Amino acid sequence: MNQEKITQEAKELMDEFSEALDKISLEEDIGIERDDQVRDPKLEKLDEQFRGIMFDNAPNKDSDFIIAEKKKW
Amino acid sequence: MVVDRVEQVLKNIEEKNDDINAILHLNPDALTQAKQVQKKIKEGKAGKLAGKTIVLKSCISVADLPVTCASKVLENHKGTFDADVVRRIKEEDGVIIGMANMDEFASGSSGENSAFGPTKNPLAPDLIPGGSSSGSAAAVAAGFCDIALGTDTGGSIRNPASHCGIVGVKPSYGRVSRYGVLDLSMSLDQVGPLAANTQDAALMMQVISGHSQNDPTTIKKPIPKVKKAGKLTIGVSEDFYKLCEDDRIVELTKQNIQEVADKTDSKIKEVKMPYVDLAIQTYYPLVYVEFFSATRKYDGRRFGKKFEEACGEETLRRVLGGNEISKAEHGGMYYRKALKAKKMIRNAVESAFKDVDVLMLPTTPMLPHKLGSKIDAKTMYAYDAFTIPANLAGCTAGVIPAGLIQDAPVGVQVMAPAFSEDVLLSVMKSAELDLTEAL
Repeated sequence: MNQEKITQEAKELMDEFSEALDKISLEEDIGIERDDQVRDPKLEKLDEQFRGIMFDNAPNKDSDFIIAEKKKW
Repeated sequence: MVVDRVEQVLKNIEEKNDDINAILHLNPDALTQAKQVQKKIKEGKAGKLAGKTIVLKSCISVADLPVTCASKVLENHKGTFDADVVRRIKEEDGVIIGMANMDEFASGSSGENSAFGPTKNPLAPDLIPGGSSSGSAAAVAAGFCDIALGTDTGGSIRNPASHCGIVGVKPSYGRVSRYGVLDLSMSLDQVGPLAANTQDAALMMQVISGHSQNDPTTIKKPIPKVKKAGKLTIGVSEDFYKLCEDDRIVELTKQNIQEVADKTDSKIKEVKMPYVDLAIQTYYPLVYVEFFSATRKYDGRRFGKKFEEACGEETLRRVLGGNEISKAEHGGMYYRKALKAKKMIRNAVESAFKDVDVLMLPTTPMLPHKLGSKIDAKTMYAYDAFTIPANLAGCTAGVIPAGLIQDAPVGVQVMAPAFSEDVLLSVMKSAELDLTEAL
């Protein structure tokens, strides 16, 4: 796939969409009201299974480490 | 009985899934779990979903099952933990049958964008099943499960529900925890049920709804129940009808709305819906930027492959486009502008709900296209024109089968105010027509 061409096409589409939004007078306030956000760290539990599966998923690992060589990604 | 039911759906999958391609991976423990549930039923200790077979969209994390998002990026990836919705299903004794096909990373409206092949529409095999929860909808329509979970960012539950002749519900934003869901657009995504009937969809809504401290956008509100629809004011809008590309869809929708009004002794009221013609133009810049952000974790180091090297064309378009338009040099020209338009559409929808209890409208502006047709991105995005407003407004919406047009199932959409799923489900129940009998 030609990434440059896809980027160009995507940008053109977004430009077209953005111009369409210019037709309306946009309000300034874009705040989001949420007054019921509750998180209690005391209720969080350690997941015993997580570590094992995460290491199974890692493409490159040593016994206790996920190997991520510098400049390799 | 639970074991019999699980054996039946597994037999259906064995016989038909090679053709339909709705299921990507089976849960190897399904029968064992069914036996455990059967035992609990005998002991009188079974949960709300005992006896129900469940399929999950492949972007919902289940510990130790493949969670691939139908992408080569996560081809051999296994879920490291249970998403909140999965934990709740397991607690209520639903038996998870497997993981469903989908448009890659929920990027699509047709079910054709999967790295593991397109899904076929069980009711109309030449046509697309819709997307992005294509496998979830097809699995229900084909009898591979009782209830499936999908995700809906701009219509990804309602669009395939409509095309596959089944029921689908997009909950209000904040009703269902997204913890453990691999996101497309975090400010819009919601997990919801697809089922053959409203009763099953409502049952699943009761199980998965509710506050979770793992997802701070969830809100403490009473859990919705289906009740008999009373006298209502049903809103309709010419602003939607004039955007519809097929007059037959408008006619069928109007006919269905009139039937619901007659059944429930409700009145129909015309409402203005300004800015809905800009829903697509508002939605996609938000999705491009949030999806670009969401995919930065797919770097190929801890799991999977590097995103840009392994993904398909539509997902790449969104990521590269999102990267481009979120650059500082564009200074709010795209994302921020879209956020402002989103707020105006939300205000317009909320304003309409001051005069009516629900809005009823078509689900898609066109009939499903032939599977494998060459469709450009803009035409594909147009499928979402009538479903996006509910996501931008954060309200709840559902789809029920309305009938067939040229052998293509068509659903009618109901929108209700945020956290009014009880009203939504009661209207859906009144309007229900089971097309899966046509199988």
